[in-house]
Amino acid sequence: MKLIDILIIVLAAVAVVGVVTAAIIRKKKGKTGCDCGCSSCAGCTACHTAKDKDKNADA
Amino acid sequence: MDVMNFALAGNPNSGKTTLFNALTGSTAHVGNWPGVTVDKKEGVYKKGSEPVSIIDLPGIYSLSPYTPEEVIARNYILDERPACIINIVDATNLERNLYLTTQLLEVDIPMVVALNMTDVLEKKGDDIDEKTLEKRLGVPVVEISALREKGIDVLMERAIEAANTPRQATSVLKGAALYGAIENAEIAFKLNGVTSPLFHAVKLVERDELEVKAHPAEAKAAEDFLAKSSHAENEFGGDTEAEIADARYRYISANFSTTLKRGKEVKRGELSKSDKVDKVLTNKWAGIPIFLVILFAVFHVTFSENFLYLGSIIPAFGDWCEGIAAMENPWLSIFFSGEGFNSPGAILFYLMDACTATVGEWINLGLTNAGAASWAIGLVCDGIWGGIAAVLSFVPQILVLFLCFSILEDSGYMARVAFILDRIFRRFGVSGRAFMPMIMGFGCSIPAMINTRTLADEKERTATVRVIPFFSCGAKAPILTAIAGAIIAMGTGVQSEDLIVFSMYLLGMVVAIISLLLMRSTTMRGETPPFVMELPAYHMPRFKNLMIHLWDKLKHYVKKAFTIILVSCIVIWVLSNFSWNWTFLIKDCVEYVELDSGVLMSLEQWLAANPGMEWEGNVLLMHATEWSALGYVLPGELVAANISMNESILGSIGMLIQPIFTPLGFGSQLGAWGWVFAVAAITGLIAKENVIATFGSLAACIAGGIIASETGVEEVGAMITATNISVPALISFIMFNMTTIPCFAAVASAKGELGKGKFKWTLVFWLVASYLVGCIVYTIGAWWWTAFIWAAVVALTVVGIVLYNKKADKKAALLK
Repeated sequence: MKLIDILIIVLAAVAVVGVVTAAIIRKKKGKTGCDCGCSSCAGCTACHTAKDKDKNADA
Repeated sequence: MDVMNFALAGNPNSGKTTLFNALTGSTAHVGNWPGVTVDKKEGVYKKGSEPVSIIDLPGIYSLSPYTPEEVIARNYILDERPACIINIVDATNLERNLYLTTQLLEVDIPMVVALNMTDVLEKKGDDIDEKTLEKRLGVPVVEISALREKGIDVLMERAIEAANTPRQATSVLKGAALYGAIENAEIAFKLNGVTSPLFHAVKLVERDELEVKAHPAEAKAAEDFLAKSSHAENEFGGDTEAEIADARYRYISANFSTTLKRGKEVKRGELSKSDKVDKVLTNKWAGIPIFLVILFAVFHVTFSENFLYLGSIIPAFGDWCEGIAAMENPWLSIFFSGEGFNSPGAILFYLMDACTATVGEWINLGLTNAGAASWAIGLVCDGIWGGIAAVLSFVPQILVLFLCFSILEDSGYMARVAFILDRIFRRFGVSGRAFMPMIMGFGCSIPAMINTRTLADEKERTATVRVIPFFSCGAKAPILTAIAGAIIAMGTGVQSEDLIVFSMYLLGMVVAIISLLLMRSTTMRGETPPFVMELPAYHMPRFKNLMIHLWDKLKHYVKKAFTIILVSCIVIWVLSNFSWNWTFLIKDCVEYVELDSGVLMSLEQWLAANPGMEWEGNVLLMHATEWSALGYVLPGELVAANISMNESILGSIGMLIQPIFTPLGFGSQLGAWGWVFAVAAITGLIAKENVIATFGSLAACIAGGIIASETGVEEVGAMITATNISVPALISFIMFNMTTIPCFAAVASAKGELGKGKFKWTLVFWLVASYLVGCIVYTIGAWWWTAFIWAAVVALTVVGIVLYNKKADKKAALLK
């Protein structure tokens, strides 16, 4: 296997793991974003309710 | 140091979010219709000596809430107690806006009145005596124009000043007949140490539901007080809420409205420009046809390949375009189709498609030169880039579509459509107000579902959330466009891509209306709530606003392409190129063609033997070993297409679920490649763009070499055609994707809005509805006479509903 092939495998694996991990982290933080774009969203704050609730609970 | 919180409160469509954006530099969604903001938004004003937190609250007409978003606004003001309330008042509609102001004055929180839209007022030649109004209200009044960002700094200076000075609550009801009861209740609240006692006292006397529930003891005392007085004998017949509202309006009219000096007297019955336009656009008979024409025009601008039908109207121009298209010049074909001149959306689409195809070629060349293995090239070029490019190619068209919808929304037309459709929707059990979230669903289902909070009736709200995904969102547009292209390529005689896409959108809306009718006639029966919506004034859409919307859409679409879709493409490629024992399937495969005479020949050999010709016969694909067994000399290592993909992990999973879709036309009857539709329908559950990305990833393997010149999205079309799917099955596939369970994010949003109990049934509803719709479309399309069977089913359903309702009514009567 050539270096370029290994590089492609590594990059693909990093992309998959990175995106999935980022999604899990976002979910845990309560940022269940829809990817529709917050600034054009009528209720963007609804995506952050879980986080807000945690904050309120802490307070 | 604690940061001060300022709340922006005011009537719907008074410019709160515009002011919020101007103060905080945010780009929150601004729409020219009441009810855009349904949740509070937070930003920071940094221009002053100290940062101030700004909270944009949903619009409210009074502090007696009826809908969930009105509760949010009231609760924030009463529970969070901001340091200052900035009450935005639409100066062009002073009297009605001051009704809320008189209620806010009863809360002992510092307040500033921002007289917005004073520039519009000036244009009309009117003027408000700001100083007199300030004196009479007892709180600072500042003239501003949120849109032009005029007077904003002065407003903030005065708000900060006011926030540092405690304010005593005041009421305009002092002379009212009920003030004795209010005073009595206020004393009780004061004794109990309740904050804003005056406000609570007024609400208690109004018999406000929330107030009575929160303070039952005081409510009883107030009722006793009212019973002793003679208020029930007056013209309001004991309706204290109406009596207080009347007292407020009387006070406003006598004391505040006089501060408005009109430049010219408005003659009785004189129509404004907006009224004149509305006479046509909201006409009882012409309103809906005009709406359909406007909607079609949007799709024509976005998808048509015969712009303004010039090619058909002027035959010479059509012939000339045909000649240009026949030249097969890749750059000229961006602008000209065989029928005429491409629409702006189609031009941008072909331009983007050409760009993505070129980038794909560069990547291929670069990897080949770098000596990458064929599987690595396949992964990057066909798997990853094939999928992403298929999605990216549609970005310009989605942006054009979104731009058109934004223009209609910003101009104020969409609010009129809600008004027009109220007449139709009412017959199906929902008010025209429900149309606003539905129309938002054309952009994205998630904000649309959240916007249903403006609907006061819970059953109406649930029914609306369920049908929102039927209004095709931006992510579904690529599916419609690609399949419309395939339908045209199949030679069905229909040549208008715009007409096909428009019809699909309409079909989605029809399914939504039928579903609403069914729900509101059975499990979600109830009174149709009255529809009261203020029609906003027409205005030219703001370029900045439109660009903010587009930029935001573009940013997130591209982000999605390089995250969720990228990962999906990699996973799909791996699953479609490896078998269960992790053997790579492509490397020793080759494609061949079966001539009509039954002779087999390598595609390359056939193309070499027939220079300048395109293959139009049957194409079969098989293993190289099978090829060798037939005695043919292998023409070296060929790329892609192979029947062995059916042995892949994805292929075997797809074939397993394929029979489920047989009644819908894209199941077992498609034979070898039918599973791609089953797989695409499933991957679409993650994000709808994945449907086209799946096609894009698999296209190179299935369609590669069928027509060698095909690239980009056309390759997807070639793949769809290669599966031998029928037109009814394709329409069924579109309808299934339009009406089935939406993407993960929308599902989560529906769960949040509906709660667990209703959510479970919502999932069942989506699955059943999509399956049924797909089945009906396919069977009627394939065998027209089945329409009679479906008609019989519909008739039976109607009878069933009538009987069910009778039984339910009887049960309700018995319970009573």
